[in-house]
Amino acid sequence: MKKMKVVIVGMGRMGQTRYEAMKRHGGYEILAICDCDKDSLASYPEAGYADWKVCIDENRPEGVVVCTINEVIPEVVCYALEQGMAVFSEKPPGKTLEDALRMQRVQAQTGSLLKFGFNHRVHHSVIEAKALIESGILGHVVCVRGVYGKAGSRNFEKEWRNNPALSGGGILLDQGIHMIDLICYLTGSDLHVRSSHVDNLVWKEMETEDSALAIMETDKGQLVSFHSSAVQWKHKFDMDIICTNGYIALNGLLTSTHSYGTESITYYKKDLEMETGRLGKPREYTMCFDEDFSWDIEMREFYDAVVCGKEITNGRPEDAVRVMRIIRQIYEWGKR
Amino acid sequence: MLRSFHYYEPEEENRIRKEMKDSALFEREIETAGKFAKAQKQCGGRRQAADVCPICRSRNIAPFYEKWGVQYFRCDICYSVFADVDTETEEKYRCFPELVQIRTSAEYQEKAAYSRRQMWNELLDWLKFRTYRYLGKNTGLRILDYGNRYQGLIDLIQKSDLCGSYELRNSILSAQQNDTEKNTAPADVVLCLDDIQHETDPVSFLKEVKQSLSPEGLLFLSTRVGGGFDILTLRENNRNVFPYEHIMMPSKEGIRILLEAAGYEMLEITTPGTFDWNYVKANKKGLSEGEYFLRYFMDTATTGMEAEFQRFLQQSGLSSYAQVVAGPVASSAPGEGAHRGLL
Repeated sequence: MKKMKVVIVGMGRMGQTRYEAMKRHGGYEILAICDCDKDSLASYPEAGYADWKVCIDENRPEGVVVCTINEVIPEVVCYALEQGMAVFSEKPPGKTLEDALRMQRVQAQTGSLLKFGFNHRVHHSVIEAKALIESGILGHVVCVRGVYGKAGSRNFEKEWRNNPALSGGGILLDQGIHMIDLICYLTGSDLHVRSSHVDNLVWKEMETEDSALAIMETDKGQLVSFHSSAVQWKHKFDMDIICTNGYIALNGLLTSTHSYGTESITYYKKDLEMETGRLGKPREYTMCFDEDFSWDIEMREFYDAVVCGKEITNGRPEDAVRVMRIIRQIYEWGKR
Repeated sequence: MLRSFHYYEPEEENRIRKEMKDSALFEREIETAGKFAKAQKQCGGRRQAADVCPICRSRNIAPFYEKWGVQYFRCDICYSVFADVDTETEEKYRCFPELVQIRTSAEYQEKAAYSRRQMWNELLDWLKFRTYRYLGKNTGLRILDYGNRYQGLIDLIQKSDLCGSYELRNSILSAQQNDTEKNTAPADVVLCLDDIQHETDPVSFLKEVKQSLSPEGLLFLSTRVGGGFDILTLRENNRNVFPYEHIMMPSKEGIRILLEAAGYEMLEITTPGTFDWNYVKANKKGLSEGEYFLRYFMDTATTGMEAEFQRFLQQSGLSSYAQVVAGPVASSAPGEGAHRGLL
């Protein structure tokens, strides 16, 4: 297996997760790691850097894996692209739509490869939902309802994620972005905001929102409702996908903390003739999952694109721009 | 490998089950199978006691139970259950004229077509879903079907969009299939539904099957599972498991071992069986004296509790019926199977 030389910029939780996935893959040679916090580098054998530019310049890797805070992402991504390096970057694609557009532009100018991490697309339940929708068994999608909520944290308002200068937004940009990306992915369509509420329901003094609720419509006229919340108190990931001939429910999400509940997909076929059950309670088909390969699948897609020349299908710059445009619309509607 | 636990809503199972098997015909099948077994016993057709597990090759096997003069063993390593039956006798059973006559009769086929229609439609949906999931397409596929003995199911598959071409093998209906096409190209899909339960050497069988399967193709396999609830609980008193109809019942672990030994990657295994509890409940006399918990549960459980218990078996991979999707070995990278066909 050809080794792809990379450096990781940002060794917080996501940097560590990507590090482990690359080690499991076996095709990556991690030349160096970088973080402004020296302690986060101490337990790794690779060369450690505090300055990301020095890290990139001295090592001249084929690929740069960017796991920094939102504010720094565009700068590192664009620099690496301009150096002719392939880039894998964590979401969100910067703080703003302009950041995402800038990265897309530099990628187009340089021709270097750029992929953003939207790992929810390759969670088992989502893989199955995509296949189920496209298999045609349940007809076509007419409506999607999504809720993605977490319980904030003890010092939530003091986290960098809720400092707009560093993050650019609150729970919507941090976590809701995944749900928006998934809705676009599963419907195969762009979203247009018809109404939204962006609020501080509990953390009144926080500069970023703790709740964002939106009514949207796809290009195909499919109805979408969406709620991203940091005041859910019990972690929750739910998506209902209503089709012309059936209904899909995604419940739970397998994470390292198992706090979102068992990841499952349940589907029901429309059965007005009551052949499989009672009216309104047709036969249920459920699949539950106890493994999460999403990090591995993403790092493999990046490797395959750089080393084997395969096309990137998830987390493309256009996906990033699309989702940031929708988030911009939700924020703007919320201000009205 | 994708590990998932697929379960069906059990609430309506009683109704469906009642319609699924015509009791008079089923009694005739059992009676005929018993007659065959008796004849084998009388002519001393049993071979020497098995010394290794035919699935994991372990010598840690122990007699489990005897039924109709046939000894069943249980492997302590892979938990599979198998009968001490030689290939020649099993072949004779498959071709036993009285049994073939019952199963190929118009009455048997018509009743099966009527009572299993819903189940077959669900099977077809499952095939369409999973082929799309792993192949990215679910129309016009080359299908090779092993051991299917239901004309109604064959017709349903052949008439569906799923099917581009169809070939039937190892079936009591094969001789009657005038319009069966002979595929020269490798199959996109191989169906082995409730077929390996007849195999004395399932690894060799699956290797042979692989010769006819495209490198990107899929094997759909369903089987009774030796680690399943009613198999382990009822043992020789399980009316639905009998010689020589069920001689190979690999556990979940055994299925993986079998597939790997035959050169497959197991993409998923689910245990959506819905009848375990019903089988045990219908056979309370078959429970051994020491089964205090089950007797207590049986006496006191509400319908809802029984349904939840069956759901627990399904979700935990403990039902005695498994559905498996596998493909020829391609890669062992983490998550490779899970994402097959979608990137």
